[in-house]
Amino acid sequence: MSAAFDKAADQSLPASSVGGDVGDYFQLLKPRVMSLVIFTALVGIVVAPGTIHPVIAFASLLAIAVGAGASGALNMWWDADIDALMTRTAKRPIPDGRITPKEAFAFGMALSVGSVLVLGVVANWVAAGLLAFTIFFYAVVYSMWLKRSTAQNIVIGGAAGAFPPMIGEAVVTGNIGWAGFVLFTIIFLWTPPHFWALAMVKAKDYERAGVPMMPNVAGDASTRRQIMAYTIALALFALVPAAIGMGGAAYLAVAALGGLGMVGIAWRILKAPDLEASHKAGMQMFGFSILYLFAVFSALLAEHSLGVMWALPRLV
Amino acid sequence: MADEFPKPPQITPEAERIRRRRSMAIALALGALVVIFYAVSMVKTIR
Repeated sequence: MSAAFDKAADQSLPASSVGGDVGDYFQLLKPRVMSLVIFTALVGIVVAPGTIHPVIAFASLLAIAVGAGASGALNMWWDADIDALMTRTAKRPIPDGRITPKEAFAFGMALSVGSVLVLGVVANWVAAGLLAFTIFFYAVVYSMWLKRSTAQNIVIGGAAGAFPPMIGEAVVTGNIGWAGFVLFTIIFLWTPPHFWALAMVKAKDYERAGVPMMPNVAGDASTRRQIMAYTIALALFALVPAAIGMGGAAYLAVAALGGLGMVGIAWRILKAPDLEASHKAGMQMFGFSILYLFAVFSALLAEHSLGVMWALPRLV
Repeated sequence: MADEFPKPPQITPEAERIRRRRSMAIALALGALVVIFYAVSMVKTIR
């Protein structure tokens, strides 16, 4: 008996047997998505009618960010099998074997519950409820249900990424209001052109993994037309904040110019003569759409936080 | 009788380093949570 134990003790456990490194867990939180969530939630807080103490705002943003990260971890836990099949995701911690699925699930669940409770205590339970719903929507409705069953996956699932400004507004007011709804709609309309542009380029990856993205299901031509339609809707709807007094002259200029840029790239995708040109324009759309969203939300943030809004006549 | 108790398994220096870093991160996160709750409590009390 003793000899057996001694033998076991002599075998050194490798690094992989003690769980992931800090960086691996951080990667589970999808830090790039998390930074977008922090930014859009911050804009939701700033444009909300009302004021909030900076300490409460900071703590709330932290809880929202952790909640977003938790849903990312649960998404990676559920999608580990298809992540392993795609070049873009094969090096994620679970398919790469640096973190076990069980660890990722426990990490995601612990952070989900923790972030919702902290937001409820720090801000209010409406905001906490919205955060809980967002995590549920991303992890269950999008990841477990829509992603593998319909080509409209990122259209409906995109709502999860659009909720943070509404949570931000709820942190300040305790309610869901128009400001948050307008910002929600901008991100909701932004999501399809952004992701379909990437899906066109990575179509083979998605096909190999069996994920029914729009280019794989409806074809390239249909996807290009839909990118155009959503981009026009986005460019027009992004003018609404200026029309209802939420954004001023600077916002209007940024939204109008950015919208023209988006429509211009969507047009290039639509009229691309071959697959190579279409993929090139697709990558341009992917990159520019991030810049566009950042610029539009930054304009709102600057006008509201710096008090430099040149008011426009309200149309509504 | 004492021979019946197993020796704890050895871990490699790399595994030890990972474990230590993770423990530090958990400690820092808990510390940050304490500071945040203290600050929020103060703000809510003063207001």
